[in-house]
Amino acid sequence: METVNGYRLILGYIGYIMMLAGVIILLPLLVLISYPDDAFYANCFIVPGVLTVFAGYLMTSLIRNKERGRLHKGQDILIVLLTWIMTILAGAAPYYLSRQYSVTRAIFESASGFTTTGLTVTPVDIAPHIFLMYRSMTLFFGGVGLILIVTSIISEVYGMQLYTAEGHLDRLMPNLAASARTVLVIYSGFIFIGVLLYVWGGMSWFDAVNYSMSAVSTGGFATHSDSIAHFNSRFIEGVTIILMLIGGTNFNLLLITLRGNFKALIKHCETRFSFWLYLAAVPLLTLLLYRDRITDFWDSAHMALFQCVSAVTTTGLDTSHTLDKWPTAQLILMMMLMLVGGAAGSTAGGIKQFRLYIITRRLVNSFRERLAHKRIVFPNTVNIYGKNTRMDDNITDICLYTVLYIAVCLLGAFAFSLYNQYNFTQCIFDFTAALTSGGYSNGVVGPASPRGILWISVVAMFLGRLEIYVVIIGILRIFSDIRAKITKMKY
Amino acid sequence: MNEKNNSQTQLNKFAKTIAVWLLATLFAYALHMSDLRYENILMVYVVGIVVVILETRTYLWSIFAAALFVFTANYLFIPPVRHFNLSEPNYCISSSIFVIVAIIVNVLMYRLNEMVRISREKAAITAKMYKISGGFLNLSTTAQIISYSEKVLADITGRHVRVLTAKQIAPSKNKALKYCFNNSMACGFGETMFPEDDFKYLPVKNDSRTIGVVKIAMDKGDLAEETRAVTETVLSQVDMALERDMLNISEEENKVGLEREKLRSNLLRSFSNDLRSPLTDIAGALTSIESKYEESTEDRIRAVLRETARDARRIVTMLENLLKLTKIRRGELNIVMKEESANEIMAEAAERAAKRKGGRTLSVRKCDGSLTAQADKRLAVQAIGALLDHIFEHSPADNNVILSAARDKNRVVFEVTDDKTEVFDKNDTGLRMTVARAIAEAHNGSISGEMNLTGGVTVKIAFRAGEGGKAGIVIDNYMPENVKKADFDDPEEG
Repeated sequence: METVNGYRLILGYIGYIMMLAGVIILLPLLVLISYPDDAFYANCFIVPGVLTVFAGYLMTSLIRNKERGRLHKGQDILIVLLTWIMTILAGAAPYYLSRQYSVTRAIFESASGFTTTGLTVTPVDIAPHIFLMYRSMTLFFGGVGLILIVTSIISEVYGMQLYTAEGHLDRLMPNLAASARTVLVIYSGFIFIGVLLYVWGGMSWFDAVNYSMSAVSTGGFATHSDSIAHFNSRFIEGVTIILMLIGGTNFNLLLITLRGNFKALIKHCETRFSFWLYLAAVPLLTLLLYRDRITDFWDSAHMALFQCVSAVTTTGLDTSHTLDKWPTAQLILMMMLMLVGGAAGSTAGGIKQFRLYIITRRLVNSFRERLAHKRIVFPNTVNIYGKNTRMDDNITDICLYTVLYIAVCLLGAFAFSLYNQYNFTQCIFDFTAALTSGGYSNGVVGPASPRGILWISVVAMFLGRLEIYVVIIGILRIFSDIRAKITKMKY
Repeated sequence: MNEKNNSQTQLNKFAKTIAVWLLATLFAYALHMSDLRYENILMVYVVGIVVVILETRTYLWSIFAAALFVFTANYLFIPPVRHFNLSEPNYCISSSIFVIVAIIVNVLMYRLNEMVRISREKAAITAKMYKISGGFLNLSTTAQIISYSEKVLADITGRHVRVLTAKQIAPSKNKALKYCFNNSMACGFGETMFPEDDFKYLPVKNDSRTIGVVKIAMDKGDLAEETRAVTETVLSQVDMALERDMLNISEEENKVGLEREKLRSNLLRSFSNDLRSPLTDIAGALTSIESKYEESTEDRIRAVLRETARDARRIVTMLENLLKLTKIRRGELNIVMKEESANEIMAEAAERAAKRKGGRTLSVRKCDGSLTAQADKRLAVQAIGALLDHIFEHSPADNNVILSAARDKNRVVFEVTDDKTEVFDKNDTGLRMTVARAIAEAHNGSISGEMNLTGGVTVKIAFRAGEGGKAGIVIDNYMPENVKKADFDDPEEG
């Protein structure tokens, strides 16, 4: 049997994900059952959806019923990279075909959805329901991970390679497809519970579905311009906080907790890290909000809790109405929280709590070692899922990643500042929000932004979702393949 | 189980057909909404049918799909919509043509699929045969060939297979097996002879003879025609491999016989040479005394007798060596392998060889005390002594001979070197060197030698290193404690 290798193999694998992307585009058509008036926009979904499925089908024929060769070094990452690019492009088609978006804005909206950033150029108060649902669906599928969904359907030899290349760290079950299905079931379950609670809290079914998906996938798309604040309900805000926290928690830890092992949840390093983080950040933000008379004390405390959770989990749902009027201190605090981000192996973005915990722990140990007697040795362990595990030697990698992340933040802020319309706080805050998938905007990124700003944001969102390395390695791999091809052609 | 699989497959095909129908209808709806003509919508369904044919690969599902798609197109997109319109001749004709085209496409696609499947199967069989042939080339023993053949045939037939050679068939009482072997004819299950047997017997044969029989368990029914053909092709490969192996064995045996004969005559020649000199000396001396007995003084007679006795001892040593060599070759010599100190082996060898060194100086360079060799000390001493004797014999009387030892990876190398020996023959077949070589080989060691660039030769003998000792440390002019200065003056050498 013919063995498929190289780019044919890569395209074949991408074909499966393209088919999934097509289905994602078609799914919002179900909204027409409840909102038949939106049938006017059905073509915007049917044409790109069916064509994407068909294109994916043709691409999969490159590898179907054929022996698949080995993926070479970097090719797994290339698949992930190209998958995300093609999905974002295909996902932009419905927006563009609606004639309400330019190419840039359509790609921006699609990238923001699939990367679970939540920045938007859509006038949500007047947008058709079908588009609002589509945005939320992109959040859900992007949050769970496109590769993960495909591996839940087809279990492949290289599934694990792609699974880890997309940034999923753990395998919940011995079988990869079972792991992927478990993640899907867990998420769907939480979304379902969220919908019920929201409806109980007074939301319409449509809003409940959208906000539940938005909160669990830590995306932050809202169906109202004033976001969660629109409902002015403590109950709804409470439910949202819980859903966001769930979304920002490690998949594996969620499963372990659901199996009844609460001890693991409490002892897990990221849980402790986030506990201390919230304990420091929430009172601080409360005091800052109260000091500046933005609201009264209890409203400040409530708002601070919501905003801190939303920032750390990089969701971007808002209860403040007035974020663009916040003083610099509050914004910088929010920016730092977004940089910390959620747990590793969750839908949240940011540097990730696990990495920062390791760095902090190492730093503390380093100081203790300097001060203590030379014969005292401090244990170099971290608690992962309730078990003490030796810290690996990958501290250098973690530090390098963190430095790279912050460098990209500064570079992005510099790129924003070239437009001469925004101050430094706005630039760094909005770029961080795009990179970490935080989704807040302080006036730079929005419906009225220049095209360049939107493209920079697209790059930032993309880099943030694929954790920078994947993008760099993927691009390097493409260049090295092109160079090899040219050299081969020469000789 | 099969029924369950079959129903799952049918369900799978149904799901695929419905999915394609749904997508095609959605797309057709989009075209319809864009006011595109009915023919364009039909084209979408044609593509849908092609996809269904590709996915289901059966007539039934594709014809079902064609009918479903035509009715859907008619019901949804021909005015009046959501009604079957069979009165308008244009639509009826285009729908009929559509069905005909779908069926033709269906048939063509099915045939194309079949051709592709057959060509793929053939390519797979060719690749498999190529791989199998390649596998046979790497096998070197009959056991390996049989094991590989059984594995390959089991893979092809999906049954338990045994390959039996003439040696295994001879004592067997299985009549079918013997019949197959003796008559070079397939028999057993499904064949003319012994059809009631549970096994099928296929001969491994060429034009002139039968080499063996392949016994295949027929618990899953008879072999398919294609499988039988492939099996017989593999059998010819098995036959070739076995014949090649038999030829190799025969060739190897001939080669060993020739080598043995050559070695024997070389040994005989060198032994005759070695034996001739002392015997000639003895004969000459005794003849001289006998013929001039009266004229000879007592001192003269004593001197001649001493010479004769020394020659006789040399002959005894030679015969002992020869006996030992024979024992080593036959594996009768009891070799007691122990970890022996390299320094002790050198000291003892030097002590024994000192008597025969004449005016030459013999220095032993002491190595690291922990360096040990895995050897029978008695034999190792004798082998190193033989090397020293060899140097003594071929070098002038003022020669300086050095004995040293060092570790080289997992071996201990004893080295005898000098600066005056002028000739060294690597293929020396002298008895001493032959004995030394046999001892080294009996220890899984080796012996080698070469001319030094600065003059003289270096002869090396290597044994397996023991656990102790890392690298040899060289100390010049070391004399073992039990080798006294006086010992170097051999009275017999004068």
